[in-house]
Amino acid sequence: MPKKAREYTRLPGRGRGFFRYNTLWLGKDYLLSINSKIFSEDYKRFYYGDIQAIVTRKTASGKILNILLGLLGGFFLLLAATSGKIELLPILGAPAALTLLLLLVNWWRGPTCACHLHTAVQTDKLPSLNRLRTVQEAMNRLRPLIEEAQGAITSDVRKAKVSEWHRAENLTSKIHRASPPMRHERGASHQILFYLLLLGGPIIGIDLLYNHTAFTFLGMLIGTGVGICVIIALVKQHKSDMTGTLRGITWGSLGFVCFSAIVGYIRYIVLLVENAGKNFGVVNNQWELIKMVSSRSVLDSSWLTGLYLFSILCCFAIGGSGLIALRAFRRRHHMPPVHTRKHPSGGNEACTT
Amino acid sequence: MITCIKCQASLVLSKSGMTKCLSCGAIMRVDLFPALFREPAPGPSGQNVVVENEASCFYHPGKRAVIPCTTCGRFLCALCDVDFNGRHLCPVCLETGRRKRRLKDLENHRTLYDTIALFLATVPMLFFWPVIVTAPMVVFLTIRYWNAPTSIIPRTKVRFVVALILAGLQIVGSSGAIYFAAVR
Repeated sequence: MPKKAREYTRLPGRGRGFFRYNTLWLGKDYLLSINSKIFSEDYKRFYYGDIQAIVTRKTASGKILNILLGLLGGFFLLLAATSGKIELLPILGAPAALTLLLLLVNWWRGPTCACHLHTAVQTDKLPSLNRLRTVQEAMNRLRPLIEEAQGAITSDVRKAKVSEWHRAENLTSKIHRASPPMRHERGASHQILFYLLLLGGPIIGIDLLYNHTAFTFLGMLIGTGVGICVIIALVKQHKSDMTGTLRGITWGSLGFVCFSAIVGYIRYIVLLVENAGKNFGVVNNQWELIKMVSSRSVLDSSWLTGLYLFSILCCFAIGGSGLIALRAFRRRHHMPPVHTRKHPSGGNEACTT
Repeated sequence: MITCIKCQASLVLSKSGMTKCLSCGAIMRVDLFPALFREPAPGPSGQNVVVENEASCFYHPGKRAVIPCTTCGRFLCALCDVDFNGRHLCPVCLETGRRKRRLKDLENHRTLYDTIALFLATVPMLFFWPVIVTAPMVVFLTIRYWNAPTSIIPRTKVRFVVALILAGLQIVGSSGAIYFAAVR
């Protein structure tokens, strides 16, 4: 008895999501995309005759995952190395080994990408084609089927169509050129943010060496100010003519603010847990909490000392580089820095000198 | 025209296949196919009946019939003729086929009853007591949906079989447990 021909052939790749995954299958005259949930499946068909183009863009998510896994693995390795206890080695070594194994697998699978399929009326993402190597393998099998369904096209027709598009594109770009330029941003909020970061560095340094409520409180105030300024700066730089470097530094500041907030929160929780039995009333009294934090010497803990030194370094690095980038941006636009002066009517006003 | 998948700006296409978006700078691999360069074919309009007693469309009496429906045999004009996998169907047969799942290529959703049965046969075992309720449910699901279509990709009935065996064992086990508890 002859073996029954398979109706669908699986293409390589699998796009994973939250309780769902996506696969691609080659049918007789269409490409079938199956979105599998736990108890059901959704189907989408792309007929070979309708597919106009497949566009693949390399993404950074693989690299980011590699960095994160590397950092996590390094962290566990460092913990295992510095613990000094033999019995802790397997406990800390196992997650390190697992993380490094995941890193190796991710590295071996190659660069990540996003793949989109174009037809005359739709552009759909193909979630299962998420690695460049997978896209190459899939295209090798898909291309002959599509070309067989669509037939050949003369190079003259192709050239004529492309030149027609280029003419349309030139017309569009001329219209774009005639449209008003991007919004200009002076960068006042960025300037305040970077100065605050530069001010925050020494304050954290003093707090590290000298325990006093005033410095802890001042550090918290500056931290809050930096948080507010970074949000304002990010809003202001959106769709403005600000340079990529300056934008990147501002986003870096946001990362630093988030990191500091998370670390600070964990520190407070640890302190509260440690003092839960001794002084429970401190939970509801913010001032007492600040006093309790300031009474502890940071230098007693190697972790906290390291974190403080890291924060100081970040403050100076982000603040300094931000001010340099802002100065370069203003020089390019022939714009003097913003200063505030006392207005005769009593209020402050921004002016340029 | 193909647009950048990151910023939606139109792409200037090159022969090599690698294209850089002039707007966002993203580098993309673009695989083009002949369908992109072809003008869309004009849709059929259907010719009017010009001679008396000429066969006309069942749905448009004023239009000339060109083909009968493969399923119901009604005469169809070029407007009503739907060419589907080499078959010529009228809109009504197409809709009926889709609704009654006779046209597999039109289905866009399926429920996997075999997976549901297997899930109900395995997961409640972790908590023991829910099997009293779920085991009969598994038996019902397996019998009720044994012939129902599962995934569009052909697969065996192994999930149903495993679920049925597990459910049978659970029913026997839980009945025994209840009996011994009652006797004691």
